[in-house]
Amino acid sequence: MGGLALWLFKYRFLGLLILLEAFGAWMTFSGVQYHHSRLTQFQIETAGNYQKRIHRITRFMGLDEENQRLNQEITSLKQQLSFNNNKADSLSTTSSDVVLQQGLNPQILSSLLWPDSGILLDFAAPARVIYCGQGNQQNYMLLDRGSMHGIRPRMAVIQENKIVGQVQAVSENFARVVPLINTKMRTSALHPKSQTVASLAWDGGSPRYAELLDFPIHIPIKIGDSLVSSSYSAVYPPGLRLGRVDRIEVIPGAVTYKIRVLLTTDYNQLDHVQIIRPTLQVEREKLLPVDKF
Amino acid sequence: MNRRPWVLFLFLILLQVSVFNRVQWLGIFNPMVYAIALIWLPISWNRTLLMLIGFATGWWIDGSIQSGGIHAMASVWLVYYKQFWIKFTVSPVLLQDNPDPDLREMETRSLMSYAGGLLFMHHTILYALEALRWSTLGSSLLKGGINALIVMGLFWSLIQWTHSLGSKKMSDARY
Repeated sequence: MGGLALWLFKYRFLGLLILLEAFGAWMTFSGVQYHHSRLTQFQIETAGNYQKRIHRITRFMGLDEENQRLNQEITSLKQQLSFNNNKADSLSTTSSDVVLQQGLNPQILSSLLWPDSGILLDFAAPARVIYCGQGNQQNYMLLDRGSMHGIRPRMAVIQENKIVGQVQAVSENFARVVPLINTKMRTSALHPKSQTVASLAWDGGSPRYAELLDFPIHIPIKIGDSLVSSSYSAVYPPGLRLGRVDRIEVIPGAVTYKIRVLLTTDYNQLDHVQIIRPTLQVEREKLLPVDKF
Repeated sequence: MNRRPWVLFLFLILLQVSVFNRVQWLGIFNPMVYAIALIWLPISWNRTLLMLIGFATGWWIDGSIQSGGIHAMASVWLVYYKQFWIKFTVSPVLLQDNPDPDLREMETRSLMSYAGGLLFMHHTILYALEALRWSTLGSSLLKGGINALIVMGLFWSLIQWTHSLGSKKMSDARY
């Protein structure tokens, strides 16, 4: 004990230096927007580089399944393209193989996902998931695309027509995404059969299930009904798949159901995703209070 | 060392807050004259007190320009390190006679390496923390060097001025 006291006394000035420097750093990183942002970028860049290395090793293990999935995706895109004859002028000269090889074209992607609906995208880019956390309450994902590829915060991340999450922050080469399986995430969900809008939230349990909140008890809903993104969201275009109703519980005295939703996106098998931004998102968000995620 | 540094101390900090914080010529010239005040503080004072004064000074400057805590961090480092730095730059004979030498009586070479080195470190740490990018470390070093030279020039002028004041007082007393 006496030795420890002596040691502490001997290095008291160094201790004071560390203490004061730490306090100064806290003031800097918590008080100045620029430094806070630089710290976030540094964290993303460091985590991104580390996870990219891990991903290079692990992706070989799931290569067969991934190739199979890509083949299915190409086949389905080809089928959709051939059905879209009324868009033929732009699409007939561009085969789906070219679309996949040369990167995503926002116009083509929006015509594939929302044919004849008038919904347009002003940005679309492919990305790969290099990290996807699932064990925490506030999970996040890292993508191998960043600000130098045009990615910006509040862009939507989708896989085909399924919602994955939204971009929270970007560094030069990486993007941090908040997935649906984050307890702070709330997503506006539409029940197409009744045209009722409710909130989809994750309760921190299994990454396959989420909860549909505030769905009124007087509106009919069945197990197996699908849920899609609503037009209330500025981040996600409407009509993207969120999940299916898996279990409905009626709580005595409550005015809303307790509904469990099987998420469409399987976060265990995420690799290729698309990052999109609906046209006029920026203009729309200027008029609305922006939520954190 | 100057035994009553408070007047100069307050003057330099007010000068920094009211004048030099507004100097941002070409994005390079942004001298931190308040560092002179920290170097001027006697080494013989309680070290904990010196470090707290350094932190409070930097905090005040930070508060005046909304820069978080970067001046506080650089100032604490300067005050902490000057105890070691003086041993490298000032003659051991002089330190043996007087462990807290008066800056006005130091040899020019010792003064330049002691104060100049501390100013360079302080400015470089400050600009590196301000930019917070590895890629701009070179320009932080350059900016630190240029501004340390400017502040060193001011420091040198201040010492010459106090010299002249001292000799004037002596001649007045003689007559």
